[in-house]
Amino acid sequence: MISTDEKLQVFLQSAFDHFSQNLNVPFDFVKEAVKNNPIPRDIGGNILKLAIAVREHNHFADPYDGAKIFSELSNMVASCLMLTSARQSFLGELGLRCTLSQRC
Amino acid sequence: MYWPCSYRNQYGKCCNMKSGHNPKGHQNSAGKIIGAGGYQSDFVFDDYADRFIDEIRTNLKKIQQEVYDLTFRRKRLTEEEAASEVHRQYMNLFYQNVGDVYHFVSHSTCFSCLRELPEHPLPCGHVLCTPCVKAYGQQYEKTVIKLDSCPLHLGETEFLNDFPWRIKVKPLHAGTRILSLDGYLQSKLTIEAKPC
Repeated sequence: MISTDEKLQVFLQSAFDHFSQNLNVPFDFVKEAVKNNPIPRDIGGNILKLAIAVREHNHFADPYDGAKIFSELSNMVASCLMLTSARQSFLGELGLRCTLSQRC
Repeated sequence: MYWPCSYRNQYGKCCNMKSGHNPKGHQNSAGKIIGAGGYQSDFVFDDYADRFIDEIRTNLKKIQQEVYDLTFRRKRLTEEEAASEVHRQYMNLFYQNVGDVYHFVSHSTCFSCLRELPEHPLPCGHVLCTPCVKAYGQQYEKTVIKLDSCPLHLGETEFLNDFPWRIKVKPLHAGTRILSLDGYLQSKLTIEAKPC
């Protein structure tokens, strides 16, 4: 997504801060974006709550098939991450979103 | 902590979790001890975590592509609206695949977006957060949003009598208000306390 002027300003300032300290290391755009819009701690907890609900109420052949539970969950979680990043208008493409998914 | 032991014998299945397993051994759901020994499980999340992340990453790539395709096809949609629409399809599919959607109710997590606090209960029992209500409903009046069906299970709730469901939302810049009964009224009111 394209940055708004307000958001660009934040990035410009952090880039100035960064290069005033260190000229040889490149400015990490993704790291800065994650710092400005951290995924709240509780999203991991929310995924856990959904996973527990799936474990209790699923109708799989084996209700305790962990691999199946998490493979079903991966679609939902990926879709939620996409929705979250669209709602918060996180910048960047897949690279950033993958970073977000790792942080969860 | 949330994954039960996988031990089973002719008396049933052990239902103890790892944290509370050791002193007693294997117990079935009735609380009866069915065997001795420690916690055992063939599913360890640490082993599975990388695969889980990989699956999320692959699906994310696919979903992102779908969202972009949708924004190209229907130019009027913003990225958020397109993401909401794609998300609703995936969410419906997910709840159809895993089980009875009526059991998936939480009052502390919005099971639609897994991010916000749920605030608005629907007649089907599910509770949604304000951004989800705004994304899947239509503005009816200034502070009322009309929801045609529950986004968690679209097909089942579409033509129910309870829907469209009207949800009142607080105006954006309004503060929180409480009704206070004070002064003269207080002395006139009698409060009945029922024994619990």
